[in-house]
Amino acid sequence: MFITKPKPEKEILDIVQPYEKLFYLICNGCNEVYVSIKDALNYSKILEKKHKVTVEILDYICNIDYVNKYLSFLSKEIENQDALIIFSCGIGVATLSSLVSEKKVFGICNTFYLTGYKGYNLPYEGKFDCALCGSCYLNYTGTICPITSCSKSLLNGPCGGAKNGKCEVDKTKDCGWEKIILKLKNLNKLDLLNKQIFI
Amino acid sequence: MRVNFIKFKTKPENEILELIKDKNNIGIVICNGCYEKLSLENFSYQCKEIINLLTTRNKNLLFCLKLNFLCNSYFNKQKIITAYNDYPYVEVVGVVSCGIGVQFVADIVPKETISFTDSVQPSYNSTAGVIQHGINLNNLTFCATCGECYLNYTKGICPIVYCSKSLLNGPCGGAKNGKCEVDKTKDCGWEKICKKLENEDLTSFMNSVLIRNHNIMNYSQHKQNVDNNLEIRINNFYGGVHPVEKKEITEDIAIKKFPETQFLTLFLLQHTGKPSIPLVKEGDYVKIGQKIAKKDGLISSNLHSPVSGKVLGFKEVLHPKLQKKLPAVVIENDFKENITDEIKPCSEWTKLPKQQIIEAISEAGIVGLGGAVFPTHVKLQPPKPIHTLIINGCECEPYLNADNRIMIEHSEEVFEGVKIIKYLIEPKKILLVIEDNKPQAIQKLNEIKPEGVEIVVLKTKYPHGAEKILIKKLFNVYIPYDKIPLDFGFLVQNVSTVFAIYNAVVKGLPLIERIVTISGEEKIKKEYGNYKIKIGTVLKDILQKCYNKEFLTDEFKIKYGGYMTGTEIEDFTTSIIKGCNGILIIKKYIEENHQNKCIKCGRCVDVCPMELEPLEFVKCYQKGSLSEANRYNIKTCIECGCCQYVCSSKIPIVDIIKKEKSIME
Repeated sequence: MFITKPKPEKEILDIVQPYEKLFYLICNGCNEVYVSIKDALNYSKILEKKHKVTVEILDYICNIDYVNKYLSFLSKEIENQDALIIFSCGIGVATLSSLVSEKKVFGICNTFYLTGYKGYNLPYEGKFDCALCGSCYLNYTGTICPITSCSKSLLNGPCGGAKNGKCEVDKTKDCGWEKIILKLKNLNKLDLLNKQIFI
Repeated sequence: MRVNFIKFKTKPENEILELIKDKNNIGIVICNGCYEKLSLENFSYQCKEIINLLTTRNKNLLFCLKLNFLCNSYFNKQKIITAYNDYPYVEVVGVVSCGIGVQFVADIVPKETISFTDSVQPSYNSTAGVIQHGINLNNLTFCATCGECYLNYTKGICPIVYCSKSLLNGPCGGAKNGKCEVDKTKDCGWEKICKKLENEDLTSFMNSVLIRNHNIMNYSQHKQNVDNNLEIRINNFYGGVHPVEKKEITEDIAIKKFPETQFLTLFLLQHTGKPSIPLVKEGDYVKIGQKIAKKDGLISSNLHSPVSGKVLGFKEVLHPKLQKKLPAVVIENDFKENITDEIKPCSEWTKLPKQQIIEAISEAGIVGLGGAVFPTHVKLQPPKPIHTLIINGCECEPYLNADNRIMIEHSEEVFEGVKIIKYLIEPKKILLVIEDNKPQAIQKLNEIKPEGVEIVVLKTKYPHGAEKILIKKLFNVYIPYDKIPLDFGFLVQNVSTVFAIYNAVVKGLPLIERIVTISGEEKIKKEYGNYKIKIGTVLKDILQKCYNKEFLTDEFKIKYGGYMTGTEIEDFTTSIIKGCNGILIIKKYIEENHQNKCIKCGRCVDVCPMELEPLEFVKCYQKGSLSEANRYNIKTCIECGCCQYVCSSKIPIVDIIKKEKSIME
């Protein structure tokens, strides 16, 4: 799961500066994530100061089948525009720019990762995560994942050292390996760590 | 090329056997997976492998729990705990799922938990954690969610995803014949980008040195994002959506009277229960407010003529909500506005006995105007004492402003209506619930609220307006499908209904008109607004007056009712009924089609406010086994439309559920 946040105004205004007429597409897909339409529409007001902006709200711009249909509906409107700007995650921008070759396509959002691969785990959000690393270590680490709970995803090697159970990277972040050791101690299974060296 | 979205593969056989070598009693929790074609089979191949392995080694398989979206801890937690409690002597719980599922099960099961699977990246090979959006399984576009988008400079090809080292600049080992050094079958991402940039002016690109800011995704920033997201999502209740509101189109337009029309079609069934029995016949002359049909039994309602004129007869017309042909009275308006002398205003209602007020409300034919159209006089004679009266002013549907305008323009009348209900049922507590997207109404109500009425402002989220959700949210009381709020001592009344009660008791007016929001796309706008429309006004007349018909083409659809719960209408001879709160014309880009394939993105499960699994209903429909749908509590569904709204395959889930429900009956 991920969220999108608009880039700083200056960066976008610099990019779209040469174009007069802009077609502004807002992706309202993944409607269950809070994609703030208000934020997106506010952005159009900023652009309207110097450009002519046509706004259109669509959903699931990431789906190539849908985008083809949208484009067939909107082709006339897009033809008259100088450039397309898109409020969506990176997938939406990439999909559209692969389909609209004759026009410039710009994205105005940065996409951020949210812990929990699909953003589920509602009461636990941020607690569990999976890096899909391909070799699961959970059976040997008391079901606490060292890949996602250690800042450096270490299995062994050069850690800068934890202080009071907190990671060197951020003072509010718990040290994953300390959690693992404590949990295994509770379970009386510390010998699991001696059995083999993880690589 | 089709992307393989399977997230986990089984561990090697000997590793699993080593893990469970001295354990005999084993339980398994299996995740049905996500982002793959919905299979009608019961077990995926990974599960079969594992079950075979365990049974051939004479292990005692105690339970095998198959769950949808195991990572959705919200509604899977109880199922796992129940299964575990049934077999407390289980020695080890094995999990077939991605890493999140394993950690989640380990967190709630006190016994040892082991993972039978290794989680793998979806087929793309890159050092960046690539998100699989999976909205289209044939789509090869990915996003690495790096927090700093470079697509504007690289022509829509992401260097983070397509370069094996996610390089923006720096030490690459060199590509050979367009292939990456890492794998001879992998295309070089930067070569692709350069090809696309060939015809461009490269000066600006060369001048902007791209350097990746890894600190942008630092821990505290990330934690803040997670917390904000979590707060927004389960702030009010599990599930729900934030549709584009579009309320601003008609928000500030005052209620106007809709002009009189010549022919009116009044359905005999405008309410829950039995249809009314007609009292007039062809050729009769009726006056405004004259009773033209009487109620049949207790759960039924009276019907009055909204105009004066001649009864032309009865005919079968398509009912907008029930979507079948039903008898209706047709009246021709003579525009003389003769009012019947049965209307008797009564300003001193406090002196009347309770029974007489209820009689007046029943005579006036008042039903729940929020959409449920349940006869109000039945609700006001509860079998159990009512402790809480909730006045529902949420109006969470996009576009609609009918209730909002009533609260702004007729707030005094609404509070007078509340007093009438208070007199009748004597609740301990009265709440008026409103969403925070109606600041004008909130201010107005707060100014003049009488003592004893509490105004509760909720954060906007759909579907707050559903009474069961409202009670769940406010009092944490869960009302099962076969019960109504009255059984639990709650009475929920819509603002429009309260206004109608005031009109019936104080002014003596029967329910012959209601406030309807008429709105839609900007392109076909002629005269949008909030209209006081006579019940029975034909849809054709409304389209004529409010919409620019020359632009009304195939790309638009007409929604009768709200944006989310409304029915799509193609027959314009149908008319306004008591339960209609809006007429909308909106764009349709993509036909909703139940032939589309579900890709198990899990969004319907994520947004269902009743905590159901809507994708299972679709699966049952395709399989044709309705008994199974019953197992997934299909009757609990309130048909709010959230699942259909988010569905990434545009499957009309609610229509399917309605069909299944009607077949079951």
